[in-house]
Amino acid sequence: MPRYVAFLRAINVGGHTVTMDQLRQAFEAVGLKDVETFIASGNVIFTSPTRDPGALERKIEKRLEADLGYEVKTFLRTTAQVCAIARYEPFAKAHLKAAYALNVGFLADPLEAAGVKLLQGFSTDIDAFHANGREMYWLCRKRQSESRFSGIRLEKMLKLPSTWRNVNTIVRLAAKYPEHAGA
Amino acid sequence: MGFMGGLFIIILAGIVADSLVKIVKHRAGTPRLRADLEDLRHQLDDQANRLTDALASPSRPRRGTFTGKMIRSIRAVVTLLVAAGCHRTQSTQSREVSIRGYGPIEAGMTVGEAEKAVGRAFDRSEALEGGCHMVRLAGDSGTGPLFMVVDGKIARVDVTAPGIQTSHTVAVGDDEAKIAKVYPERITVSPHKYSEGHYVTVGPRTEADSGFELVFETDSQRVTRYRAGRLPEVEWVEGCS
Repeated sequence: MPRYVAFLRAINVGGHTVTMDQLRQAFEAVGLKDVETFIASGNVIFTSPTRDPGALERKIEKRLEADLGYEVKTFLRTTAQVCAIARYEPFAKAHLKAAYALNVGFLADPLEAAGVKLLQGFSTDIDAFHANGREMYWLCRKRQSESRFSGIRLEKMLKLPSTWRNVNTIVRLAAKYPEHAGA
Repeated sequence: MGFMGGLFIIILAGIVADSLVKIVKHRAGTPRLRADLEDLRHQLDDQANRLTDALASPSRPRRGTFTGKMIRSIRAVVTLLVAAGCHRTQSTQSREVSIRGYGPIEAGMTVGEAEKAVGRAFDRSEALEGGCHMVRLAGDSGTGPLFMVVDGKIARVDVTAPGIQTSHTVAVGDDEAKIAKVYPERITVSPHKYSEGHYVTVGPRTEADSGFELVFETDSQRVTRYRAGRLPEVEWVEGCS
């Protein structure tokens, strides 16, 4: 049975604070099995036989909104897909080595050509961007406090919500769940 | 003054010296000063009463009066020290957030060191040894400070509700403009990743604090939460990532 990772948007941001226990309970209440959280940043791993991940995303979002009182956009990937993201190399190794951080942005649907162009428009001396399927990659060459990139502005321009994780989180997730990579 | 009076003066001098040592230690972060100083004041009262009684005999009225004044003077000095120490202790108990952490808990400490420093345990309902966790001190409510523990060490503290101030008096709910006012020339403002607000980042004031930051999240008007601690964790925008 496939294992999924749910990446939740802005779960512990602004005035919101959610415990991992609350998240586990919400996912179990939806009927999902083997629910675990991975580090405290809104990553929930579970098992589900669903053939319609999109419908499951909406079901989880509905439950989270009911439990927490605000909208939490949810992006599902199988553990096999997470492993593929961890292996993907969006930038040359030399650029990556010199950078301060590489972040992965999750979308519900792949970016179209116009969306990719909009994303590239945010590039500066500090920030570089790349798109691949339902993921965006943001290479930050300096500390993020020095970057002018605004995720909310990008979302508004794309008209698509997204959530971001440091690539180290993705690599560690892939390392922790390799046995399910064939799902 | 006589042997007895001299002896008591030596004892009192020892007590005063002891109080000074305790205050110096406290300034360096040693806890439990308030209780120590209150004990000290009781000891001093006791000694002063006994000495005054002993020297108040009709055979030595002048010496007794002189020594009694000395004792009272020493006690007054100690009382001032006690007051100064207690004031410091109270401000520590209110636990302000500095660029390095929360009260005596600093980023870089192990969980055990932090517990020892604050005199309280963390909530251990989740194992804290490996990976990244957000945890509160045991018994704290949902508005208490939230500590990020990375591989068993404190990385940062997050404040998500009003009531806990930084050492420069900024708290959740304050105007964003106040940050620039109280931390002049040390701030960087960048767009928030998930809202229309900002991250207002306060850099270190001294070389010793390099590698630490204070980061305020705002809705562009008011502070909605803030955090302090070491880089890179203090800049992570989504909890542990």
